[in-house]
Amino acid sequence: MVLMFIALFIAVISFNFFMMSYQINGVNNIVLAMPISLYETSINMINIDDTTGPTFDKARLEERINKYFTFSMQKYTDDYSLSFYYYNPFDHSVCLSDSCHAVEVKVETTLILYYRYSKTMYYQIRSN
Amino acid sequence: MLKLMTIIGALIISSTPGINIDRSGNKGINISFSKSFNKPSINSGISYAQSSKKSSSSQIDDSSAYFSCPTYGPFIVGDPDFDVTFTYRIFGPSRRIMERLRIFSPSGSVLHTSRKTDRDYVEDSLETVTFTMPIKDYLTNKGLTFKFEILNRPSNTILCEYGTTFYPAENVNPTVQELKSGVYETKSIGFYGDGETIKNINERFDFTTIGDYLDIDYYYRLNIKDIFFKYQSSLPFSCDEVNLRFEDRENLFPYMPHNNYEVTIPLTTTFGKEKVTMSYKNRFFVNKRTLQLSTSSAAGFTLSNYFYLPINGKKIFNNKLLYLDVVGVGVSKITASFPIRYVADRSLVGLCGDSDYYVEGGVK
Repeated sequence: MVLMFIALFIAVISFNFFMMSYQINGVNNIVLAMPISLYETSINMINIDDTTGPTFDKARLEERINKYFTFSMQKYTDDYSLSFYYYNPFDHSVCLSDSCHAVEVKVETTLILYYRYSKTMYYQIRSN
Repeated sequence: MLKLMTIIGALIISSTPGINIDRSGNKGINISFSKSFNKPSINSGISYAQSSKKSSSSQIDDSSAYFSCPTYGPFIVGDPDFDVTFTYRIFGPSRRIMERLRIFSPSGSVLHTSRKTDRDYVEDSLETVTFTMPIKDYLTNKGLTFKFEILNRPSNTILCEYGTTFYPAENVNPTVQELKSGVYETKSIGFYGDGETIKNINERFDFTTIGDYLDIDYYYRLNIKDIFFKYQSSLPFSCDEVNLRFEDRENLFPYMPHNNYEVTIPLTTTFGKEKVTMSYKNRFFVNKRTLQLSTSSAAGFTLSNYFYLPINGKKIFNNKLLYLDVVGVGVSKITASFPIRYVADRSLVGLCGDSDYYVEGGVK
């Protein structure tokens, strides 16, 4: 009986670890393999200021990133959060205007066994 | 001694071309300067008159004159006669004079003469005389040559004469090669008096500024600010129509009106400092995401002054032949179609080595 209980416990733990590994691997893949075109196509192409160059369209960028995670994460978890922080790439100060050249996207989620997954991505528009 | 030096100085100056001395009156020696008028002008679309103020008799040697008249022209064959007003001042003593206007044939024979009655000219007075220029009968495609003369009476020696030849304005159809080979100049189509002589008015077009290539730094917008030509004339600039046209068989602009696979964009001209620049006549509606253009409003489209090129269309649009169609430029109504090849090296946003701007980043 004890042996059966231990075997069940090991099976449950193994399954949980397998699930955790599956989730971490999946979420990690979603984050790491996020296409850069999501950012490229979120650049405001209308009325570009010749001095500042192209900037991110905040609304479009957030919409696209949100859509991407909504579509990709549903297989692994529904409990996740995204936060956007726009900054100036030269001095890393916060960008409060509508014309921002850099963005920090933070993904946070709680996986099985209350494992907290968090990753931060940094993207910026650079000129040649 | 001082008086002797003044006389010697005056003698030296009087022997110098272009400087006339008026010894009339009791106010001493009056020196007035006049230019030599034999040089054809190449600036501002104004040519000096073919025959201008002359000093043809010994009496004229001592007289210089002021001469002016407003701008006349352009005319076309069959236009009604018009009144031409000459204003003049003869620097010399009071005398009896007669004013005369003569029209000459291309061979030089006199076709028409119009005279005013003899009058007493008061020294240095500014006089105005009006003649009817009989262009209805005498202006042909070979031009019209006239001379306005002031004669000394009763000797009939010519004190001053001012004249020129002008031609009717006509539509010219030079080829694109002719227009791009150098400055294209029309015949004299008008005239005016500038205070010294009669100057011809013509039109000069410089289309050499329109290059064969529209070399753009990056594929993004169809920027036409570098497309311009020059127009030099005393006449106001006019242009019936300018269009930019290109073939779009690939349907890169699905929302733009097509005519036989061609997209035509109406342009408007701005004239300033002899330079004719172009801008888009109408505004466009542009899709913020795809940069597709439309002439009418639709969902997702926003109004813009620029002609955007669709995203991912660089390979199709690059090296495309654009045609700048100019219609009815100037009085001469020049019409031509200039081919310009669009060349863009890079994209605005894209890969690091192929664009002006690129996105860089990742997970840290």
